Amino acid sequence: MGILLLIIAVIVVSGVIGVTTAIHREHRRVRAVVAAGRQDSFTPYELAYLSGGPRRVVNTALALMARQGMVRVSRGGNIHAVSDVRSAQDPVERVVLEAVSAHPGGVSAATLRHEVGNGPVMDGLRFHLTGLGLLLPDGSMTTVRTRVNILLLLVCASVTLLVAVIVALLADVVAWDAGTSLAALVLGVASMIGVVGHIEGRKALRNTLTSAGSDELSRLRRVHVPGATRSAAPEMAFAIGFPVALYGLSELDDPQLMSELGSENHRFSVGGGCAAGACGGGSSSGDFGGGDFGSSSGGSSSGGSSCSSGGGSSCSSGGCGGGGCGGG
Amino acid sequence: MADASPGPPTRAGVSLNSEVADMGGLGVGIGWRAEIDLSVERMAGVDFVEVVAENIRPGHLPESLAVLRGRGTPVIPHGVGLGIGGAELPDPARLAHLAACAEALGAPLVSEHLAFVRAGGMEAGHLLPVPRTREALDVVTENVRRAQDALPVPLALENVAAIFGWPEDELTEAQFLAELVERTGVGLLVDVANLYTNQINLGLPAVAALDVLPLEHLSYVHVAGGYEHHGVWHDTHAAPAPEAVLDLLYELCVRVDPPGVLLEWDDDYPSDATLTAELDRIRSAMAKAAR
Repeated sequence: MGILLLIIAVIVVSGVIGVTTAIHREHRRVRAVVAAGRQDSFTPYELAYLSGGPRRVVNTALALMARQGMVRVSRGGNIHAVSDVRSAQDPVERVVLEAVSAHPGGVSAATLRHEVGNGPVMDGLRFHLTGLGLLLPDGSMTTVRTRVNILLLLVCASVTLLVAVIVALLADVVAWDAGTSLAALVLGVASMIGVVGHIEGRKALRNTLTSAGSDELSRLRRVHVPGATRSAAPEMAFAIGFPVALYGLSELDDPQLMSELGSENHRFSVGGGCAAGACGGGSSSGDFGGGDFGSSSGGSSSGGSSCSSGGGSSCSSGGCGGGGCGGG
Repeated sequence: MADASPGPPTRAGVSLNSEVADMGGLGVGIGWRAEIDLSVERMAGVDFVEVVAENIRPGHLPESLAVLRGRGTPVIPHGVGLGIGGAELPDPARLAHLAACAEALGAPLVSEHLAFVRAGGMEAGHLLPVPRTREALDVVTENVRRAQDALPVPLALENVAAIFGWPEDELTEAQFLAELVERTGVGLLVDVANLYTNQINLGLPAVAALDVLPLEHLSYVHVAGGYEHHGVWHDTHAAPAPEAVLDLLYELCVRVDPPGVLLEWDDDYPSDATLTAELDRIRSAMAKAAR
């Protein structure tokens, strides 16, 4: 009986090691895409996508646009349109403006992260970066995903067998002999290897950067070091674009703005369920860049939109609902 | 800047006929609205702000207002729903709310409109002009006195942009306000944009009104913009003030040094730069009169 268990255990551990190795090998192969083109400079939004996925892109846009006066941020993390800003050059900024304008009373940063982060403008960024060989094409991780799932099955089998052997030993159903003890030990090792391999495999699935993409990101992070002093002047707002794109809202040299933009309502996820700011790809999510700063702020703005009147002066209490009417 | 030290306001020492708040010069301010709270906090040169009283709860002030108060920036509660020009006595609950706002904000005064907004249980939804008759003046005088008694700080009343005038009017709005001030000592909040609106829409000369108003009782001034459509001026508070409104501000400043001038902007908020430029235009008009 002991020998039989040992044989089974060896088969299981071999399977676990084999599949784990295959996951690593396949992931390396998939990522080893040669950069298809050369791009000397990136927009902050391309960089944000590489670094943190759609969520980082939206946060970067909000930070840049707020600093440039293209949108207004109020307490509680609400974003408002600025009436004398009608359009933007960059497609991401244009979409953000459209989304903000669609909410006349203001919209939370979290809602914008959801709406814009899951919108078609992100596909444009993803396709472009994929075309450059910096992001993995859709479907390229299918084999890795299959193997990760197989590994999960093997881990389950290994753990089940291990528990069964231990129970059988404790219940004196099988005798304590060298073969059985060794089988339990091998199954334990197989389970541990499998769990670690599965965790790493899941993490690899979230990493949609190619090796070239990782190299480019590392290079840019060496160029733009975190925490560099930046001018607070509005005309220098562009200077925060790359740091925020690379490292998140914590690089925004404005703690109050950072706090308001980082406000979360926890209703939405962006980019297919990435953890806060930890996306490196589109719908399949990634794990690069570290999270954007996300704090819940206790802002207490008395919301409601304002109202105006034609001809006479502003409305009285009866005519303004809960909104903020101005005086006459 | 005004005497901006935070703390509970007091009405001690204020006689009925000298109720103009001792503000020592509020400066130039802007209407605080939730949508622009951070902008207002961060904007250079905002000496005081005004908040629509009906939009706040005294026990739970918006954080932004607390920040401004902490800096010593005066915050004036501005009511829009009291209806002091109505035939009925002012609602004690609304007066209590205004009083609580003043207390919570450490406000130097409270402002409201010379208007009625409801009658017989019906809400008008607008600031309607008071019939300017002697009989109405007696009623409004009593209403103002009731309000003054209920408030811990001086009250200032604002002239409204009327959408019509009553056929039986015996007094101009300026004459009506002048008499009301004489009887009650209530302060004046002169909205030069409303004067301009009435001039365009109803043909009431704005400068002549300034000559009649008892400007020595002036508490502060409102400036706002709007737009003209088919000969009608729409006082939207959502556009830069036209030069004509700033000319009226200049005319007012020639006659009196206003304790404060406040920009009202209530919708379609522009960039901080535009709002700051509007405040600069106000300062320029004031400075021109001072030369």
